[in-house]
Amino acid sequence: MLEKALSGSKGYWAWIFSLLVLIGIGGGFYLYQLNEGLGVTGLNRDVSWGLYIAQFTFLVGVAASAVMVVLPYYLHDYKEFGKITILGEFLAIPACIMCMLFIGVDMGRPDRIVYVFMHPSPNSVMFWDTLVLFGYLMLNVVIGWTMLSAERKGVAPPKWVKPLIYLSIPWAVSIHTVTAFLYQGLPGRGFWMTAIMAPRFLASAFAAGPSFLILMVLLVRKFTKFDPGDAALRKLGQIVTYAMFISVFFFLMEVFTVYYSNIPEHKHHFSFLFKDGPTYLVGAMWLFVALAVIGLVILVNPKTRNNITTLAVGAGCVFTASWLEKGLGLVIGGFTPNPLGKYTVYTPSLPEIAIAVMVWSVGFLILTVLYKVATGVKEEKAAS
Amino acid sequence: MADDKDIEKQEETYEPKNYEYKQTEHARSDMPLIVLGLLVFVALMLGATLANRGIGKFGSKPVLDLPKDEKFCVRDVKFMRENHMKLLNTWRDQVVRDGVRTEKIPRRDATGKILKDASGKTVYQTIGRSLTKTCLRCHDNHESFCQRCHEYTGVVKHGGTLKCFQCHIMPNPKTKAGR
Amino acid sequence: MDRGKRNFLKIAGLTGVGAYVGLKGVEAIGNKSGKAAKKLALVIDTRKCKGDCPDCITACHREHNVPEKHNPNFKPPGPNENQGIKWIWTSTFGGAFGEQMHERTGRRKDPLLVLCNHCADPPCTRVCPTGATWKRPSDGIVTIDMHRCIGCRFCMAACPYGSRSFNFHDPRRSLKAVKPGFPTRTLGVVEKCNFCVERLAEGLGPACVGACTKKAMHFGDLNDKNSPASKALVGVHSITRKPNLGTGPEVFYVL
Repeated sequence: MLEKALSGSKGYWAWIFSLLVLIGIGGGFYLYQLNEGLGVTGLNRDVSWGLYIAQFTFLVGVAASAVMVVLPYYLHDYKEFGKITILGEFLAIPACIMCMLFIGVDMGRPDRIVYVFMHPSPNSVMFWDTLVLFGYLMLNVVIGWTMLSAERKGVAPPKWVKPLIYLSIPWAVSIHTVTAFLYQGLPGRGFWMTAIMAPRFLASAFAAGPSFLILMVLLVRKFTKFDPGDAALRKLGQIVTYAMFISVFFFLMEVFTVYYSNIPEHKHHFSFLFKDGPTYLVGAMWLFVALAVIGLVILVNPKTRNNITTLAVGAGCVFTASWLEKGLGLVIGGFTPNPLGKYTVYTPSLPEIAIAVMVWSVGFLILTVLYKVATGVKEEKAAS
Repeated sequence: MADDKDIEKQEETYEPKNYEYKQTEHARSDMPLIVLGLLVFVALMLGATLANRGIGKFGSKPVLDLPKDEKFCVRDVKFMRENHMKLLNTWRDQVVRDGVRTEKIPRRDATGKILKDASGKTVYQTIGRSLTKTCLRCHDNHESFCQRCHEYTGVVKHGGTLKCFQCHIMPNPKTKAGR
Repeated sequence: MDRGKRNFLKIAGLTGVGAYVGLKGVEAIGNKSGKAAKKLALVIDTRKCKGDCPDCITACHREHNVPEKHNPNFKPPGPNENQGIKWIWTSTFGGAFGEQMHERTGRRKDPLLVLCNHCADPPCTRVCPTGATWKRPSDGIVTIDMHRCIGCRFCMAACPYGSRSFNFHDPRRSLKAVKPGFPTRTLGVVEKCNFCVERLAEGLGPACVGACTKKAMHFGDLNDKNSPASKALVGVHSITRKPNLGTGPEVFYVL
């Protein structure tokens, strides 16, 4: 089926080429980072995790969100999602790969990655995160490819796929819960040590992932002959609305806990993010607030939610807001102030941003190829 | 009859519907892709060879600088030739992870024979399980000892440094240690 | 015995075995602290140490080839200076004991020595995905295997005290002089105070304690009531950093 990705319009090849250029540039910067060390990034002794790990955290959520189309279709027989489960699964695959790549570019000694498997450490959440993420990637590859092959051949999928699909539902929840556990079990980081971290992660994932899926479906509609139908999009819109509402509600819970208790140590992280921090970060956090509000307003109102154009705007707002909060605010906010009360400012450097863009481009490349394959098969079936 | 004519018409215009592969609109040769793939393969294969050019002449064995004072190592030559990395890794784990920093080995005389005391029992000496303090005390120039064989066998690239010495320091650091 | 009772016994038996295995598993999945035969600790007497001389810091960093300050000939390519390495340094009373300060605390801005606390229950060893850092059962030192560390920096995030540093650059580019007896580290691994484990093996004390001219530092086994550390804690008021977290620091500050 991969041959479907080898033929396309001029626009398709221009897009592929641009992605390859970005990957090449980022690759050069990554070689620079390998040679000189992680000192070429903006990371420092106090903020020891930054852009890379934040992207990883955000993308685990996007990967997990495939469950939001799989669950209604397979557990509750919601027929309208039948056409887009493959798009959800084929979104989870590049998301998982991007997660692994972001960990890879963040490691000080990537040549030693095999030690995680040679010397298993069940006490470490990161060990479990590696396992569940890899398992989830394999699940989606096997399920997605098998279902698509069966569809192409016009036969029913093999029986063993069903239990795998059922397994992928709790597994999706587990990958993001385990990722949240990376943060919420650390005794020295008050910003993260809250029981609501995992629920927040899941809620924002289930808002961001389906939002992205809505935008991808609209792109697929525009560039291919495959149209999953407005009903599927509207249902996704409903899911995003509830998830975003819960996510914002959870965030407001954090705000209440911190500010009503008035504990200075807890307030410091929030005042850093929203007031005292560097301009880019404070701006990003308030933009998150604005976009979250705008997105919710658009999505809560049924008229604007069901109009596909405004739905797209709302989805874009929700996705961007979630990215700003999780992909920037969460990690940096947790490290500042540091354990001795000092504020060390972290600003991503140019090589760091280029390498991050490279990983995102790899993800988009894989996503493009997979979607080309999926839509190619669907077009082929529709034509015959 | 009308029915016969319809059937005739059907047969005339019959087209097979469910063939496996559709013809693409432009018949496209895969040759450019194949050639590109082959070129990438050749480049990758040649690259490794080219990166290692300049290592030793074919047929010439590396000449090692041996320690002048000590005639005998903590293990015999045959064992060391085959197992020195295993020994170093074992020592590393025993010292760093288990905390056992010394071991007893038999004392040997100048010819390498194991020394025995008056009652015929082997005499032992205590050595540290230390790359820096034991091995490098005698093999004090890794460039003219370790490096020569490792470069010859391609373990280290020409002009590079063994990874050990990125951290471990020669007791007399007159050699290029690391960068 | 009728079916019902047999099934009940089977289920009860399996549950019992399962619970036992599960609890043992939870214990294993917990931290790797183990039981220490020795309980090495450091006592810093803040009545004698005013944090105004760098002797202990210099001794430690020289002994262990710590590139704390950049060589002026090496311009680090990164955009900021906070990428240095320090095993022991001075913070302030307010920084280290923020939760114990009040508006009349006079010592808030006074310098205070801080370093790895070699906790009894270290969160850093709990999170390491490769077993590169652990608490030694024999003496309680929290140590790092530089050959194993993958540089993921999870331990740095987990440490509630900010005691760990990361090699953002090749340390040899910043080191002016090198002490041959102790290896340097490479790019990309984490390091911290090791309670001078290599000196202890030769019967010496930690470098910082030895270098202190004010006799403000005492080191020893808390399980031995005659060790210098045990004696230094008798009859004085001493505190540790962030005791409410349950990490059990083995670095004590006499007030």
